[in-house]
Amino acid sequence: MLEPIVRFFSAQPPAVLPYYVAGAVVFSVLLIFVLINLPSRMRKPLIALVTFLAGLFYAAEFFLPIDKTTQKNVLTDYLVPASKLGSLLGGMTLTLGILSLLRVHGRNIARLRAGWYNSLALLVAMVAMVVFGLMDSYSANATAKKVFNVLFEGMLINMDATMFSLIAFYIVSASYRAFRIRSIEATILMITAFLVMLGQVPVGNALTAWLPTEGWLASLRVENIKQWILSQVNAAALRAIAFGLGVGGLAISLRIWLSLERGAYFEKEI
Amino acid sequence: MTPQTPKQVTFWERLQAIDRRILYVLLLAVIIFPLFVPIRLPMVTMPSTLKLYQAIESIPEGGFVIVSATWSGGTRAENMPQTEAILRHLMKRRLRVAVFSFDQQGSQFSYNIASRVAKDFGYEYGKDWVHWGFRPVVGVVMKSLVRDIPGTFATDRNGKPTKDMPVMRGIKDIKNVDAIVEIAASGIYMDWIGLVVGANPKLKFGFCPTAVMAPETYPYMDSGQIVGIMEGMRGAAEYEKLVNTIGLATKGMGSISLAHVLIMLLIIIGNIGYIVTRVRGS
Repeated sequence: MLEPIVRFFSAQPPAVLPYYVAGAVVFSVLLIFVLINLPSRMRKPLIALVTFLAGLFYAAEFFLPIDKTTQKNVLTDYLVPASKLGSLLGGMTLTLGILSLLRVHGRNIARLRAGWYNSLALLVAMVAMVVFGLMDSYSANATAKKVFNVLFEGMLINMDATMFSLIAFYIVSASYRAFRIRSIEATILMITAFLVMLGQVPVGNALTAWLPTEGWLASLRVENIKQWILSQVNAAALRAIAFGLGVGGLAISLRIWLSLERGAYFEKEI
Repeated sequence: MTPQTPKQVTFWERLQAIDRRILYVLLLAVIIFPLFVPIRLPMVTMPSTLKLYQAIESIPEGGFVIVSATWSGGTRAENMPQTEAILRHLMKRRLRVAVFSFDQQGSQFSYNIASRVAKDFGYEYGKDWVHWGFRPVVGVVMKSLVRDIPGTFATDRNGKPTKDMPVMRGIKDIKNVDAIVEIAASGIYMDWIGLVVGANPKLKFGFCPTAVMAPETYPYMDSGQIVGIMEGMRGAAEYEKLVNTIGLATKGMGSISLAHVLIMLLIIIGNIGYIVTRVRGS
């Protein structure tokens, strides 16, 4: 029944590909236009219907019995097209994000609001990355490839690493100021933290390297104490948390799937 | 009215309030120093790392392994040596390797690392290894690859069709995959376990998280859903030792060691000041 649809969405020969792309653009523009102009009372039921059908597909595919020879059920073959549709929707949300950024920061620049130059830097960086990224993928221009390399590997990756590295400095300062043994619990926590930290680094291993590696005395080696804390004490507590999270996640998933969820983002007029 | 004299700050109070700039300089010094003057310290291989190594060792030659590198520049210090160590082991064992990433930066990083390691082991692209590129939407891709790997990864990172590549020979679905190794700075292992691992009882799933992520993964190693864990830079250093190579992780262990010691010393100093001040005050 869904075979023609699957064929329509599968890989197409290069000759017809431009028509597909043009058709997709026209269809997307029309769809967005229709959605924007839809009366607000109709939007909620539409979103609920799409959410329900999308969830139903995956739930039905999971629960329907499979044919023992093919290891498939009636919906299995449509998993890949559904995955591609999901990727496309992900791409569309990215477009929405870019449009939102352009609107917010474009307004900041146009009205010369405080810090407008930061907005300008953001937009210039974004446009440069998109332009040179596309040129890197689709053009043979060597200069464009070099510029993209400088932007991506020379700047973006290193700035990302720098931002993350700053955490180490804050951790040192914060742990020094905040870690005070004001109670028995805090003392136990600090001793445990020290044992895990020592067990994590070779310098800690060196402290108890004189102890034998076999027999009961080996249990006192700092790396074994750390392993015991992580695999026994820590794992038990985490199992309890994970169990609670799992039950909660199931409940929330059902509520979202059936559009029963209320509160922030779900009751606002759209 | 007599002017109030400022309260004298005692030595013990000063111990609790060292200027943060001094702390920053100290940290910078203990990180940089061992990079120039290497500190060789004994290192014990943890069972979690050993289990991952043994799981890879148990795969027969020519087996198919998927390596997912879901990390970015922020966690490069830990995830980069992990990626290199695992790829070295896989290629040393002459296993077929497919690399991809759910992160754009991870895709670029993993391609660079895999290309470099492949050259060292004489691996030919398309025949011995392939890079499927960046794939967005985690859950959807995972669900899809369980049933149809060539369909999910129809093209490689350069847009070339993968179905005719020798490396993909005989690979149809998750049942043809021997192992998956995820190198990540996030809780993505939960998605793998929930959506993929159970679909092939023989599949070995290894996880290489950042050190801060490692404790939460232990229950899953205990249950056998994760065969082994390479914990942060330390795990990578242990793995480098197992595959007889000295890489970034081994070189960085001196810095990590001294940084840990510095943090512990500062906490102790702060607490000495706190306890003495409290005792004197009472």
